Amino acid sequence: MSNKRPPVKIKFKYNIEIGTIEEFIIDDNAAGASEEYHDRVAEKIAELLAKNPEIFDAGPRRQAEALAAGLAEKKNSKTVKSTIQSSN
Amino acid sequence: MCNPRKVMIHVAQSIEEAWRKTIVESASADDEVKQIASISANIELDREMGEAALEMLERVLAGEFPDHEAWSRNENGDFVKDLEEITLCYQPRTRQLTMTANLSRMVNAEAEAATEVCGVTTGEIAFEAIGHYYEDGWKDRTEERALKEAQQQVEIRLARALHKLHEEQQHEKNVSKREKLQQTAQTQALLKLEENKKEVRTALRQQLQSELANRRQEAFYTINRAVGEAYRQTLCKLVLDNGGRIISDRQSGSVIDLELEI
Repeated sequence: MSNKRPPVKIKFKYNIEIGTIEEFIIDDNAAGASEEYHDRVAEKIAELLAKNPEIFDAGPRRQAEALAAGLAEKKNSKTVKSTIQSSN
Repeated sequence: MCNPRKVMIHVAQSIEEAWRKTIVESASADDEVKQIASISANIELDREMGEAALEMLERVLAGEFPDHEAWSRNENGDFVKDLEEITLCYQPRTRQLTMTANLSRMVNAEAEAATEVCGVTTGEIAFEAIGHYYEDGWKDRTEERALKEAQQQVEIRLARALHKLHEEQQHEKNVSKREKLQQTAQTQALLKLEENKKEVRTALRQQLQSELANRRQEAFYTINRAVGEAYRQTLCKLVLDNGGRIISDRQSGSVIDLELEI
């Protein structure tokens, strides 16, 4: 995560009541990087919190949000799905 | 008034009197019945949480961060949180979290044991009873009255002497009997206690189930709060270690909401 590249933005929401990560979005704006590279960045961060995190492209959702906010589309948003199942 | 005179009754009596008596001994026993149940939730945190978050969780439980009171440590080094009837225990070694619920009640049982003891009291009783009178019956102290008084004395003293003899001789015999009886009563009380304990255990088991159901939410909230803090601190550490910045760090209701930049 060099200083020369644009920063990686992380949005994280955890619901204590239900013990669930509600949102875990990693926005990597490094221009020209491959999809695999973005995946690896998201995975490195996600692994700190979750074992075997599932990485999804958050593009469609983020695109909708960006359009609604009148902003430019961000292409490399990744979302991580991980929930601590406090079940029986 | 003439010279005083007296009536004297000599008592010399050989005693040989059979007796029969029921003696009862009672005993009570009590014990505490502890019913411990493990809630079915055995949460293997390492199946879901990443290594860094698990390490941070230990620091959260050790009380390193404000607003998160330290859990106590048991002799195995496990973190323990006592929520009254429910105890949470996190084992850093296995990374498992268990919930156990404890309930206890005092149980009491009483029992009596009785037996018949018989024997013969023997002995010699001898004494003299005296009644005083005046020949002219001065102050109404007649011979007849003196005799009556002496006879009354005889009755009272004879009864007392007999009672004393009985007591002395029965006591020896009773002591050994009573010891045995006490043992029997104690054994019966203990048997009864075991019966009572079984009943109490069944009742406690049912109570425990409802207790667990009632307290389950609170228990999970405590766990989730610690896990949430571990996540938060892990991400904050990542940012600070890499020269990034925390854009926002807030909690609205029960949702931890972070926005970070690296």
